[in-house]
Amino acid sequence: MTVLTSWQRQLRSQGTSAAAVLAALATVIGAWQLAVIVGNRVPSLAETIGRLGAEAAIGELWGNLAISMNRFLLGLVAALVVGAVIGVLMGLSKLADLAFSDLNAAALAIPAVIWALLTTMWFGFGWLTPVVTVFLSGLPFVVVNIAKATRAVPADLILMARAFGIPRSRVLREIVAPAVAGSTVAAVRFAIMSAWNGLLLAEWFGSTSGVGWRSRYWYDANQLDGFLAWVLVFILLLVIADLLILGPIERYATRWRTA
Amino acid sequence: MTQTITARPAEREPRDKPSRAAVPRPWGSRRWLVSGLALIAAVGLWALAAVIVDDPILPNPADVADRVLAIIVSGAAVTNFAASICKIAAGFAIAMVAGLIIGFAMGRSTFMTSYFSLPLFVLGNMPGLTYAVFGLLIFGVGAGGPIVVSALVATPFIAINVAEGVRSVDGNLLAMCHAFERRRSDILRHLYLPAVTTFVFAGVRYGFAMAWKVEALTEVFGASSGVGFMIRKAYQEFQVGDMLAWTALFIVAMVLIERALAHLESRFFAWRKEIA
Repeated sequence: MTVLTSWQRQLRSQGTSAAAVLAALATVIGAWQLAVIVGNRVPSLAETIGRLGAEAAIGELWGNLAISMNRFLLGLVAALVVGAVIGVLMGLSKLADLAFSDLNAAALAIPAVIWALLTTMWFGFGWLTPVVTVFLSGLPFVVVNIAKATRAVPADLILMARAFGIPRSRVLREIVAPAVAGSTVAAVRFAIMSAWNGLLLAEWFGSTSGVGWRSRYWYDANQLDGFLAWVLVFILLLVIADLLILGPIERYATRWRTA
Repeated sequence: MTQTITARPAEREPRDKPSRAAVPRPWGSRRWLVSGLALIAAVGLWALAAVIVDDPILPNPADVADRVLAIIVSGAAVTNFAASICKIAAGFAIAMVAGLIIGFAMGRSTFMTSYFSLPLFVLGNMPGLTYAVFGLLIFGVGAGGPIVVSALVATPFIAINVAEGVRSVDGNLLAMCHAFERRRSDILRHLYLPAVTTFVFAGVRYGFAMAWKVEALTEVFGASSGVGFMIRKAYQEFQVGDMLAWTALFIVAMVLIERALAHLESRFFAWRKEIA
């Protein structure tokens, strides 16, 4: 189980009342208003949302989101495919496991900003910079979790199923799939989190379009309301991706585990 | 790096799953050989790429090794890593206090659990970029930004683990303490403290990895010392070699600290058989 899944579990635990979540939201907004009053140039929530509306009106919001999502998906799919191949290899063969695990530990330790800066220097301001950064910052998380998923396959159950002449498709569906589902969803989730972080940084440093570039534009213009508007978008995307899409998928995939 | 205490370190896994480990021990002596060879192969690939590209934009491994040595000899490595680690330690001290308070509240009440879960989720998953920019905007280029940022990143990890630890306390023991009218401080010291420390340690270990990355990022955006600042300097001077050298040092430091923490953890909690 992951740290994130324990949040997940708490968010949907029977004690989760809408009232508590609303109270939390109210506290956050209250703290923000306090910051508006205390701090001299913190924009208020209304101003920020107004700016977001203005961004949408001049066509910057959806256009940049589409560009970024395009790059994000390209890099993410590449990371998932390559990471799955390496991860399955590591799970199956002890040799591959020994060979890759130290390299992967090193890759896990590299912060995304280093990839963002390096790719900016290597590839300049093209589409390659964000895509490669997304790929490299997502890859190690996929490898770790897919290797774990592969190791979780119960070999003795498969042997037994074979001894009893169970058809291959049923073995896949009823033994392999439930065993690997949890870690596979975790692989996707961590890859998304870390790749999204990488994408923003790569676009911030080495791009002239996309959400990271747009938030930098407002930051450079010293317009905090514009920057905060984009931060709201980032948080919203995060909540949608994790709590509303991946959460239910994970709950479905691991339903056999929670008694 | 991604699990809480419920999952065990990788090196223990083969023992739990004898079915998978068809060859249990023969790798014992050769494992260093294999992983060393893999590392050498990776560096060889890098060298090959450097020869093919043949441009200062991709320096070869020997040059980077020279830079690493130069950085270590000049003392810049020690001062900058010390600066970064001091900021993280200060941040962790704040995170520990906040995490203990929030975690206790979450462990004792379901309302608090759902109250804090969304803010903690957002706090723990916000892109590092937003932290870095906020740190820079609010605290300028001083040490305040990185300290507060690493505190914010680490708090959710510690709070979640403290909450798990508080929940793991045996209710029967608690009832017995009340029946025998133990003092509050006794209950805290003998019941909660041992239960929570193991979980806190796990939270610190995983929080550390996250916090350090975001702290370095904050230093990239605005700082006057620290590893991130040096990476920023290398970027601005377009010195790919320097940047790779700092990256290598960063990786080594991070892996060493993580191994040290894992080692400490297994030493401290060797008496807890169900966890070790």
